Amino acid sequence: MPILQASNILRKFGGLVAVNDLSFSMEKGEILGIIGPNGAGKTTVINLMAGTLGVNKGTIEFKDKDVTKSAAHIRNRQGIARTFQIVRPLENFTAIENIMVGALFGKGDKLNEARSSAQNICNLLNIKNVNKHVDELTVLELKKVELGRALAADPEVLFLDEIMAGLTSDETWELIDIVKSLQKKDIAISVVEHIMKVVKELTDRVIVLNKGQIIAQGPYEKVSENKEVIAAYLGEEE
Amino acid sequence: MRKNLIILLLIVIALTLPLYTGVYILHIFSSILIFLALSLSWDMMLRTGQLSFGTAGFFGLGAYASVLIVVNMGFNPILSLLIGAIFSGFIAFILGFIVLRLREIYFAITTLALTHVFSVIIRNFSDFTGGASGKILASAIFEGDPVKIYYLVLIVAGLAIIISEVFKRSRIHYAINAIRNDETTAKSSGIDVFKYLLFVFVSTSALQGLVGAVYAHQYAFVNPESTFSLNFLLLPIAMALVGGIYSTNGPIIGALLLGLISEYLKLIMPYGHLIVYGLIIVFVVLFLPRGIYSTIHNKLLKSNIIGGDKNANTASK
Repeated sequence: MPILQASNILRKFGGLVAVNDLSFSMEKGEILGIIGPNGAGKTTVINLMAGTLGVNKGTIEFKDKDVTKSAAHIRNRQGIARTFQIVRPLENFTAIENIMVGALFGKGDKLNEARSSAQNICNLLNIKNVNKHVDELTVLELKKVELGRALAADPEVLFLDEIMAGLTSDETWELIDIVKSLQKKDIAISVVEHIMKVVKELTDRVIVLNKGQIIAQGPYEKVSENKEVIAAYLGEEE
Repeated sequence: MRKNLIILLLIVIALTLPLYTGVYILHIFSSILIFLALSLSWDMMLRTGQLSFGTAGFFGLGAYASVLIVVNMGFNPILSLLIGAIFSGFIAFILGFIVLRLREIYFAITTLALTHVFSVIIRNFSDFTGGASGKILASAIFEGDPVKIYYLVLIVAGLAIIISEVFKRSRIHYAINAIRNDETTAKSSGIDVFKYLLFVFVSTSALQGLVGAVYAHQYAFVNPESTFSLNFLLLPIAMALVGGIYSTNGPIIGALLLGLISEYLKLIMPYGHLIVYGLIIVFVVLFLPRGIYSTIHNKLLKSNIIGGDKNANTASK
């Protein structure tokens, strides 16, 4: 039984249909890839699932409860967490304080509990400079802080929006291992990625979006050979 | 350790001041403490990222509520101070549902407009409020005893300091700092943004109402012109900017410094003191944009003279 089920989602921005009649589900312990060319609606899907944006039509069920109308902070507390494509650290906090925010409000920790929860996550993600301010952190550390804040909410569903973008190869592998370790904790993970190496390595199943609609889904190896997918990425053959 | 000693010393001085000073000095400090409390209350709202220009408005509402309930209904003056606080908080609660949907300059302008709206409404309900000429109390609170008034004001300022520190040391600090930083991140981290904004708006407005009520009972009158004076907005802002925003110490230092300087300047140049006062503010904002407290604190931190105080360091970021 899926932990998250989105059915017939529609979202428009003015005249533009960003997501059109989209249905998909996520399972515990499964990593779902969401891929597609620029402007396909990948980030919008995350925004809709996490409640950052509202849907125009359709329903979202999380653990068999309808959360379509729930605000973002409610969904986060219930167990849907996300990261942002362009990292959005809280700039007047240190690394560990950023993660504490997730534990305090997403999970509902008390102040002293939140610090130790955040420290545990720092250990898990191998964040060493826990007391540095975010403006002193490297790109990789910022990405980890972003992931850490989402994890601190103790989510059951986790959306990662291009978390590998801008990292070196070694750094990418480090994060891939981390995400795989999260999968073992039975979290349902959904990754939006442009780097196909990552998608191939990480995902159990992918959905390919184009112009807000699913044009293909299945294991990466199969999908990557699909003609429609190749056309969406490279353009139609004349 | 040294820091605690300084705080203890200041508390002792504040508590024993009436033993060795006269009425004039007590009066000056009562007035400084009033502005100190307002400055802190303004800063606490600013920590959420919302620039409120409604300080004078809620100050005035509290003043009016507490005076009117004494004059018109014969309430106990001390009790009426609480009524002033509750009334301002209640109005803030209702208006909060509308104005807290606004952000940035729109929030600022709307809260400024509210101040004016409050005073216009009061001016026009002349049967109950005394209209443009206001209302006069039969006597100032405690029959105008300056020592008792000083202690009353000290309690209110102490309350403001305690609330500010509670804000800094609890989960409220994390919530409102996150909201100021990035509302979208705050929401996706489980923070109920509106609830926290409303909570801070109501509690700071109630505090402003309490200060207004105390001020009105100290001078035994209210009228729309002087009770809703923009002095009760601009001076607290100046104090917080000079001392350093987003902290408890900043507004305290700013209020003491500007309060004492302006009093001294009044003596040596009765009409020119406002010019010098203005120049100080311009100088601080231009050259010490983090305020005096944060600038000095960071310098000391860098030279390792004092130990790390994480909150203060965070605040200055």
